[in-house]
Amino acid sequence: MREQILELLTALRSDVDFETETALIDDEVLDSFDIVTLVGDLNEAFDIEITVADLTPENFNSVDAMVELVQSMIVE
Amino acid sequence: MNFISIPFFLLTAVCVVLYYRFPKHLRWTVLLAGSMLFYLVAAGGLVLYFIGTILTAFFGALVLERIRERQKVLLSQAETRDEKKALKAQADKQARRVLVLVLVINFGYLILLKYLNAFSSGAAWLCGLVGLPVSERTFDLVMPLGVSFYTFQAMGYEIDVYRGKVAADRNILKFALFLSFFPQIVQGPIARHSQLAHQLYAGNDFDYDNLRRGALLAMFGIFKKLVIADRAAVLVAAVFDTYPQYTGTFLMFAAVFYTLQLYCDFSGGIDIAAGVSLMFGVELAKNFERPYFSKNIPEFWRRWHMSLGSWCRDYIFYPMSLSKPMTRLSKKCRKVMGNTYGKMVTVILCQLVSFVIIGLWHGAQFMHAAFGLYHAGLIILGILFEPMILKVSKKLRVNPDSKLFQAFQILRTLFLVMMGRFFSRASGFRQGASMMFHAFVPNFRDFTIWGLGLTGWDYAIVAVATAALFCISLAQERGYSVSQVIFSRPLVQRWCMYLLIVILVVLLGAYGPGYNSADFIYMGY
Repeated sequence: MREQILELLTALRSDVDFETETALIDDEVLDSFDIVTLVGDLNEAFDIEITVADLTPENFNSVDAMVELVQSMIVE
Repeated sequence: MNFISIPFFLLTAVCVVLYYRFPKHLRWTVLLAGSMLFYLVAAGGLVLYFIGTILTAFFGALVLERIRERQKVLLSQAETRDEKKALKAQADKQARRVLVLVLVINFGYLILLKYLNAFSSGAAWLCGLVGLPVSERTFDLVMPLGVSFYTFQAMGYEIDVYRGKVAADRNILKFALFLSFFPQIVQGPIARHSQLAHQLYAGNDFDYDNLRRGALLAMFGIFKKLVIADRAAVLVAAVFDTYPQYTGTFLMFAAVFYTLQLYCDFSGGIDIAAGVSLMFGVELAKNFERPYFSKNIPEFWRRWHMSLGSWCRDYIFYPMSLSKPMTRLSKKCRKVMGNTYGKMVTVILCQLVSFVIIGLWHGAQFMHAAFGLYHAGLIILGILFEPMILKVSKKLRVNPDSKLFQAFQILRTLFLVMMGRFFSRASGFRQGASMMFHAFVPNFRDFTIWGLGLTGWDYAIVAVATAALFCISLAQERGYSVSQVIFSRPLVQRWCMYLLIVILVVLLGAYGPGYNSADFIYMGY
């Protein structure tokens, strides 16, 4: 799953090193356009429904946080 | 009661003294009493609208939270997955109904007060188009002070409670303070409950550093407003209020002054609000981060009126982009237009809606929507042409990290922002468009501009003060804190500097006939 999310992220923004970034939202590395596109990609790839209430910096600051979010939604 | 007035200074001084004299657990009551007094004096009977917002938002949030709590209990008792799903759907439906009701009541009266006359004139125009002779009716409506700010703040809180991001307030008086905190009610920033409420409710300890930082920041705000904005306002009014007489250099010059005036007026007011708040140990959310240093329009909107931009992002752009109809539309577009461009369609659509709302937040006329569309258009063009611009830059061997190129980007963005200002200052769309067009008609040999209500002395003061503002902003942009430089000086030097700042602001401020230090532009929204 981690690899798949990394692939989506790199396709979205090839200029960012997602392995090392841990403040993607706090440091405004990803903007609102990126986030909306990413959520659409994640929803489609994992058949989940990330809602606007899930759009918190803690859920999107790093790849690992995103993996955790997606995993928690799949379990639900 | 206005920000730059003796009563406001007195109110602040009395509240600061009483705040720290009161027991810690009652300090919030001083802020509430001060805020209520401020609003009553400023708004009079229109306070009833405000009370309506407090009541609907407070009780609406309590109901929402009760629905969520009951949902949790029922979910813990449910056994099957389908049962849980059905319970969740039922609770979501109930909560959505409550939220919609509160939003409709509050935005309903805001829209009525703000846009009824525009609707009336639009309806008369439409009837005229189809040959029905209907005369336009004008309603005599008075807007309660700060209505756009406190309505957005209250509804942001309501949505946050609905989303489960914040807990509902249990004390209506404390909640009333969250909405009415006197330094920020008239022109923002539009606060988030999670960021502001706990600071207001806690009894903050006295901290001399907060007091002096707050006083200095408020003084900086007064400097921006009195020394720069109010002087620039004279020339702006002289040109724009009788604009058909002027073309070319005059309009361009007035646009530069208006760009300067608007920033100094609005950010000056925010500095006063933030400074006064800091004296109580309360840190307001940032509303400006030196926006005229932005390298592109999206960055400008992340640094200008940040609280409105982030409000529209979190409560309009995101929910709309992630809504089911938009997701379906996005899928269809991706099939037809391919992945890259297909994905952009819905994002662009939602961006357009958000910016039109930002524009209309400023007023009901078509030119306000045009202001929003102008900025949305620039952002969309930027996205669509980005790959091409990158290719051309590479071919021309332009180094995007060079200081020269960055300076070019800043000046380009500033110019585009300045052109958009025609729509926020004109009295109508046609006038705004006409002013923008005529600004490019050259008349460079006419120097009568020097006589537009300002003396040579005024121009000199504006130039020096703007240069000082630029230097301070540049230092801040590079991470230096001017206030810390002052605070680090020995006692005598430090106090001499304080005194000098006060004397300079008092001496160089623009007062008297022809000037209006009392009104801030954003107080009208």
